[in-house]
Amino acid sequence: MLERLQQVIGKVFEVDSATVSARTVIRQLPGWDSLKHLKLIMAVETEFSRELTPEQIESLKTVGDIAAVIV
Amino acid sequence: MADLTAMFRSLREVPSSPADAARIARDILTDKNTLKPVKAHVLRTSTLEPLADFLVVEAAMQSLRAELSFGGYEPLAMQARNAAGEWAKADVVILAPELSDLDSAAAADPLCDAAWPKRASDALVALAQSVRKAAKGRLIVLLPAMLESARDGYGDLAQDGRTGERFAELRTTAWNQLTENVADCLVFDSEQLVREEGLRALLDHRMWQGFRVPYSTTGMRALGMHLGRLIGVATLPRRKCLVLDCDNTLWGGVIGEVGKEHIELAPEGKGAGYYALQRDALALARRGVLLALLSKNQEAVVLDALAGHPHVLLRPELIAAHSISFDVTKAQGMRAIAKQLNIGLDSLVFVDDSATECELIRQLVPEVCVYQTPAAPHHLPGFLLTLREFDVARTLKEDHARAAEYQRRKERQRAAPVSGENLDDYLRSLEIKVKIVTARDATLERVVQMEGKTNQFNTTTRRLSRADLDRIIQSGGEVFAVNVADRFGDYGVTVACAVEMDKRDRRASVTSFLMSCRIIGLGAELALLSHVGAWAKQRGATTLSGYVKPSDKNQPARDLYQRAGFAESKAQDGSLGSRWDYDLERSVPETPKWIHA
Repeated sequence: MLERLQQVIGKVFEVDSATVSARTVIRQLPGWDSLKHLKLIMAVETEFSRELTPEQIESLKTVGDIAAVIV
Repeated sequence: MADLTAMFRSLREVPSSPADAARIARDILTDKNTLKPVKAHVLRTSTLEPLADFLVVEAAMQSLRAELSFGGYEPLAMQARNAAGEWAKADVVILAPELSDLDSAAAADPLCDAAWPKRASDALVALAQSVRKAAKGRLIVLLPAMLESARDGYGDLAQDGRTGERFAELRTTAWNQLTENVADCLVFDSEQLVREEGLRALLDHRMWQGFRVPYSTTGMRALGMHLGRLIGVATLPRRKCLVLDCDNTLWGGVIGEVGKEHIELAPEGKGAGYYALQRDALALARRGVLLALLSKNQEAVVLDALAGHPHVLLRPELIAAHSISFDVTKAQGMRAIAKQLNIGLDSLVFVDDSATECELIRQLVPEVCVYQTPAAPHHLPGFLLTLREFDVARTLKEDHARAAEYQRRKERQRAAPVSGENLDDYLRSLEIKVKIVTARDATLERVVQMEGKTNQFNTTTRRLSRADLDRIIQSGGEVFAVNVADRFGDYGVTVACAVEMDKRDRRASVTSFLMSCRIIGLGAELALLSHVGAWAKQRGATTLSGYVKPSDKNQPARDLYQRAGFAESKAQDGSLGSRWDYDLERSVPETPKWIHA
């Protein structure tokens, strides 16, 4: 599951997915801004067929946090 | 890099995953060589950025590299007034209002009063007009959809109630007003998204409340795809002719073997897929696409089926050209069809069920755009309507009658003299009549359409927009259009030109001259130059100038001014090409004696 998540992040932020880990801080990904964050949420939701609550969306700090809400 | 273009073109569908769309969009935007760049700017008050990647992929499927920019979130009227903004220079400007931008009372309560649709429509048209004034490129205007269930009851689910009526009124009123009063304007009715995706899939209140994104991911993808497709309509020349294979494309089975009685073709049951394909081809013909048949078959057998099979929809009079023979390859037949219709190979789209034939055409006639039909007949309905090459904004009177005109052209060619006979007598026998008018309203729309589509008889290939032509007329120039008819029928508006006046130089310059290839050889173009000469002389011009800028395809137009008695000058204009002059103080160009003006 983490692997699929890494790939999604790699595509959205144009980074090598191998460099993304559970500890990666989302805001520190290259080119992060609020629109990129939104794009990441939409991509994650589509990939994992999940719908995150607004509270969850706001609380996501690391890639591990995303993994935790989609399991 | 060429492979990259092929890859984008061969993408059958825009990916539904935002991550995949983002990755492909990035590849597209970094490819600076093969795709044609087009700048598009979105004037909005909601967060529409999530549609960008989908739009970019869709545009690339039409060989476009769409560079998108978005306006701020301030009121649209304020954004529109900022004419000094970079946005005004974009090739396409997209005006995407929410209902609340047009009428806040209606957004709060769609049953507030009966007059809001008119108010909202007026507000939208006023916005579009002020954007039009500032923008250089074409305009795409979005009509708001009804994004909720009817508010006035639940008992009658077949109706959207008065809520639905109000929204329908808004859309109809706005559509009519926009297409009539705003030049170079394409309209997208967002209600289309509701029809295609369904309200439940389209809405995501989380996204609206949290980020002001108006639709779900599904909805943003659908909107992005439609806008990408419309950008193609706004900026690309269209192809003109659909060339169809017969066996297993127009009907199921091999007609030469099973006979016309046993081919699969019926509104229901086994032949329904093929029937649906014919139905879609008919719709394309109605919007002005020419239909041609290319088949390895016995000509008589196929023509007999077209005329006599009870469920054939593509009757012989709808077929503008055909090559049906066992003796020629499809590549040869394709060239013969282009020749019969007097259009370029790059105006053709070929549809065949056979992968081998498709590949043959791709290799031997690479100018032709090729599609293989889906293998399963139940995938045939709607297939032809997905071909972007035939997307058009609006269909004009001329489009509806096009196939019939080509039929008449065939008759005219049969009446043409064999070598040695007197050409003048032949032309006189055609009883050619021209009616020259100054182009306004619908006629001006037709000239805009010709500007976009005419490749061969086009002296300068400037692709003038409605806004460009309006500017020429407003600054003292004129746009002329010619309706041509002969004894075989009426060809509609098929010759046009734009004339710009330079009072100080006392010079009238024909900066664009267009003629439909259907009527090349009749001399109507000379009649128009004669008319323009007299018009310019009356307004004090002493010289009538014409420009010729060679393109890959405009060979037929290059000797126009020479034939009309103009003298080549040494003058060159970067964008208009070489100049030809006619001394109006001496005379005006002549109308051929076989033409009745």
